Amino acid sequence: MASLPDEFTDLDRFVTAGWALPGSAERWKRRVTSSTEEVKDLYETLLPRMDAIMTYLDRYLLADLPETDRPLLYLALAFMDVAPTWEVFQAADLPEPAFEIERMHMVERPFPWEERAW
Amino acid sequence: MGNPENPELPLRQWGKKYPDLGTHPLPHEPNISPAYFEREREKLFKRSWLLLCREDEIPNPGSYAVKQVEILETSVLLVRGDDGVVRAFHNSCRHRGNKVVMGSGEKTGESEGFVCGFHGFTYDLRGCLKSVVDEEDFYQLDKSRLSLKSINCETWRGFIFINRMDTPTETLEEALGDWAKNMEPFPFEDFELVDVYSSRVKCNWKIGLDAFQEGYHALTLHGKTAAGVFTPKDNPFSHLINVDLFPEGHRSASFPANSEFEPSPSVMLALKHAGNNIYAYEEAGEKRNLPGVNQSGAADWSFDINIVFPHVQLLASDAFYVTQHFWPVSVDETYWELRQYLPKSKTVSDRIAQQNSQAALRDVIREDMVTLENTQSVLRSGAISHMELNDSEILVRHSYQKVDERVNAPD
Repeated sequence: MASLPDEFTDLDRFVTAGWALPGSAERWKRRVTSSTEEVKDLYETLLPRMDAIMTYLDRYLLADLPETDRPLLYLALAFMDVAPTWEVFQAADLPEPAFEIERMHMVERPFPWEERAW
Repeated sequence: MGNPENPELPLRQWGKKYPDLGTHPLPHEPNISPAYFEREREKLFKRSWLLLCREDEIPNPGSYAVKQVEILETSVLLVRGDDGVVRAFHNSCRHRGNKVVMGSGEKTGESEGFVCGFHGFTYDLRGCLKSVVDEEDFYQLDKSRLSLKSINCETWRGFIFINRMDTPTETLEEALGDWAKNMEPFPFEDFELVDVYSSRVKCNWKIGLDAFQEGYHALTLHGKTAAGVFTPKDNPFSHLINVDLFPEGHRSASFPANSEFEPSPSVMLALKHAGNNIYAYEEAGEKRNLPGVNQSGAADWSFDINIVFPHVQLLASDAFYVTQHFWPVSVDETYWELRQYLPKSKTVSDRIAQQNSQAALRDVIREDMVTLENTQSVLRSGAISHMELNDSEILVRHSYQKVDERVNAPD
C-alpha cells in the first residue's frame, strides 16, 4: 500500500480507505457510494491541509511529478471532487432529482504519465 | 419600438431589439411530431454545416475518429491524412457497404490506413482504395473510382464541421456569418479538454438545447449550486446583459456576475494556487477580459451562451469553455455529448483546480439534465400544446423560428 510523504502521513488512513484513486470517474463513484460521515471526515480533515498539500506538490510541474507523490495528488483530487457538493449540500451526492450518474458515460483526460489514449 | 403583435403589451428589453420575433406562445408540435422531425432531418440537418468536434481529437497524421451521426443516417469517419489535411468520409466500404471501421459506438485511434474487416478492401489515409483481395476475380473493378465516399468537411478555429449535401449551397464561412466574426478572437487553443460526458436522453433535441439557452431557470433549478454567481443584487433574476441573434441561426447571450458572491473554501484554494475556477479567473488579482466574449463589455459579466446552429451549445467565459451537442436520434430521443475545456494544466495545482471545476460543473449539469425527460414525457400527452416564453428566454424563441424557417422552406 502506497503511503504519503512524511509531512502528510497523518492522512494515510484516507489512502487505506481507498480515496487515492487516479481516475476521475472512479473518484466520483467512490464519493457517491460513501456515507455522509465518510465524506464529512475527508472534507473536514483535508480542508485545513490543502494549502500545504498544494504548495508541497507544486515543487514539480505536473508532467514531472514523482511517482511517490502521486497518491497525495490523488487524495487532493478526491478533496476537490467532494468539495462542491459538500459545501452546498453537506452530502455525498446531489439531492434528488438529479440526472442519474449511471447514465452519464464519462471519458477523462489521462495524466501525463499514463500510457492510455483518451 | 411597439409590439407588432399587440400594441397593448410594450416590448421588454430584448423584445425591443428583435421585435419581429413576436411575443406569442410557441407550439410544442415541433417537439412531438414525427413528421416535423423527418422534415428537420431532410431540410435542416442534411443541408447544414454541423459542428462535429475539435481538430485536436485527431491530432496526428493517421489519427482518426468515428462518429455515429444518426440524424444523417450514417457513420462518419474523420481522418487526418498523411498530408495533415482533415477529411470526412462515410464509414462504408465501396465493395458492399460494410463499415470500414466496425462497431456501433464512437471510436478514435491511429492508423496507417483502413482495411474493411469483411473482405479486406484496403484504403489509405486519404480514402483511396489501394488494394483488393483476389482482385482478378472481379469483372470491372476500377479502383480509382472507388475511394471512400467523402463528406464535405471544413474547419473554423479548430472546430470541424461537416455538410451532407453533395454541393453545399454556402461555404462554412458564409454559414457561420457574423457570429463567427464576433467569436473569432477567443483563445480556444489556451484551453484543454478535461472530460467528455455522453448519454442517450429520451427527449427531442430542441427540448435539450432549450434547457441550456436561457438563464431564467438558474434561480429555481440551481438555487443552491450556481445561482449565487449569476444573480447580482441589481439583477436578481439574472436577466441577460447582452443578446445577439444572427440571421444564419446562431445566437449568443451574456450573463451577469455577482461581484459580491463569496467563493467557497475549495474555490478559494483553486484561485489561490491556480488562479482559476469555472466561477472565476484571476491573473494577479485582475480579471482576464478575454477577447471574443462579453460583446457588450459589461464590467460584471460571468459567461456567454452561444448556440452554433442548429444543435450545439458553446459556453465560454474567462475560465472555461464547454460544448454540448444535442444530436437528434428520433423525435423523442437525443444523443447528448458534453466536452469541458479548462485552462491548460502545467502545475500540479492547475490540475487540482481543474478537478474542482469539473465536479462543480457536473453538479449543475445534472440539475439541468433531469428536466429534459421530465418535460418530454408529459409533452407527449398533448395536454400542454404551447410554451409561454419571457424576455429572458428570447434565444429559445429565436431557435424555434430559425428551425421553422428551414423546415418550412420551399424545396
